Amino acid sequence: MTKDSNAESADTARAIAELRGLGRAWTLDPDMVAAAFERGRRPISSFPKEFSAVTDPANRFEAEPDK
Amino acid sequence: MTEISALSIAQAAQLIRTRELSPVEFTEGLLTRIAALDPVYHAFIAVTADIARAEAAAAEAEIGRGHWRGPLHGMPYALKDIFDVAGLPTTCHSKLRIGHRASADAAVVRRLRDAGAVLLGKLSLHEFANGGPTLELPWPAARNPWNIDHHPGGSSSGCGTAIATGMAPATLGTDTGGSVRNPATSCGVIGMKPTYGAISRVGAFPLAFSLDHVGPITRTVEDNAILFQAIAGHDPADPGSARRAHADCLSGIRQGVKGVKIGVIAHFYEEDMAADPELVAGIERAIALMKELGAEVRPVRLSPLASWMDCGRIIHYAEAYAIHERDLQERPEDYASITRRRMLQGAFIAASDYVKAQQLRTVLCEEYRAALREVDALITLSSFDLPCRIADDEAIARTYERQCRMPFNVAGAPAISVPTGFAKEGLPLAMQITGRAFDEAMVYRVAHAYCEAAGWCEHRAPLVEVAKQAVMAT
Repeated sequence: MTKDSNAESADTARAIAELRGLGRAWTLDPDMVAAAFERGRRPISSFPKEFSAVTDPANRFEAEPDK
Repeated sequence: MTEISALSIAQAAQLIRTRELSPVEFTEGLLTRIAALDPVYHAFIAVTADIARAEAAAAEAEIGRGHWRGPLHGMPYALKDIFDVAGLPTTCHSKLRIGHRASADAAVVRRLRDAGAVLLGKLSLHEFANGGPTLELPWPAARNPWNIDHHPGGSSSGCGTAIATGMAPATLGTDTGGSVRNPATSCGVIGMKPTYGAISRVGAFPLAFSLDHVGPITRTVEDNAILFQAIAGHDPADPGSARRAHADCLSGIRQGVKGVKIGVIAHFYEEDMAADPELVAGIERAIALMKELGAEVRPVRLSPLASWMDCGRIIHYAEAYAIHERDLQERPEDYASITRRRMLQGAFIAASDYVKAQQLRTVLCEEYRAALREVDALITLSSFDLPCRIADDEAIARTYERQCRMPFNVAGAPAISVPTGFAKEGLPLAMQITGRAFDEAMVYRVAHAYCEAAGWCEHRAPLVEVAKQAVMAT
């Protein structure tokens, strides 16, 4: 990532953090919030072939729903 | 008689029942040991000596009248300080909770009171079960009994430390991504995360609702099953509580593993992420022993570890942030920085990613259930690294990602950590045994057979010199 894109990413992180009411946390430690922003946005790395966009989510999780 | 700090729950229960061991003397002995050792090991946030003495005296009187309630009657235990005990603070090891007082007992505390158990105190943890060892908190971090410069694992750190030092024979922790099994792994003791919904979480401060479990940490597998039996069961006050009676985990615990089909998930630690060679050698020795004991061992493949970890990470942090959002907005400085760093990522998880993680969970759970149609239990590693030095923040952050405990929180399946020996530098090695939902009986049976044959649970952590002298002075 270039310096410009790093700065852009930090600006985005700050804007979203402030939107989420985290201005105080940003002032306390901007690097920590920027790192959390990057980490929080990290998507799921891979999906099994059985996964589909219409799979029912485990909204109310049960370990053994068929019983 | 065996020295009281070395008594298992099963041994002590028998002695209490036959009145060869007084609950009052047992409790006093452990309170003395805690007073001598805890200034070194820091397992306890609070010692509830007055409660312990009153409960021990009541148990002794009742047993003296001929009314023995069961194996936990007069049995001392300690709780991760995330469970409510009426009238006491539940600190969650956090500055944010200073001044808190619980108005009622947690469900598990009620069950243990009903069983006649004796509360010794409340144990240290990672802040809100989600931070890590740090000097920024109002109480010190627990130390690893096998080397006090090393991390005892977390988040139920004090549970592992108290058990491995013989300060308590029974402890209860919570496990959202491995927090019962990690300290058990790091301290060389037994830690069980039961099936999701098997034990009520009412009165335990939540971390991530759909991944949170309560679990026992003990020195032996049989002790763990005794504690599980006492606290498992449906609780209508917990929306996640399963509407079913749990199976008897004790009557079949000695049946052995002859003919039992055991799958090994080796790709987690061989292909998906490379584990420490000493940990791999430990599980390979354990697999060889299982075969000698008559188990039919075969390889099992699940989705790559990264899919399980990503699924768990997104659910964990999204749900945890929902709980802590207001405090992170209004008083972020009151969290330790290690906790704040972890919690804040939840603020930036997209709603669609959370839904996708829950969709992925559906698929992964079916995959897990399918694998368990072919075998009776699974084994895999727990940690991928030996316990790191407690002052090494980078190693702590790194090793928390390098584990395969989270898959069984995602699956909601029972998973137990059992010791597999010791590394060259004397730190414990461990693996996990997992099973079908609500089949804790099989997990305990396999774990018991292995542990009895391997003998690692018999090893005791050597006390450091200053602790040894403190014990000798009592």
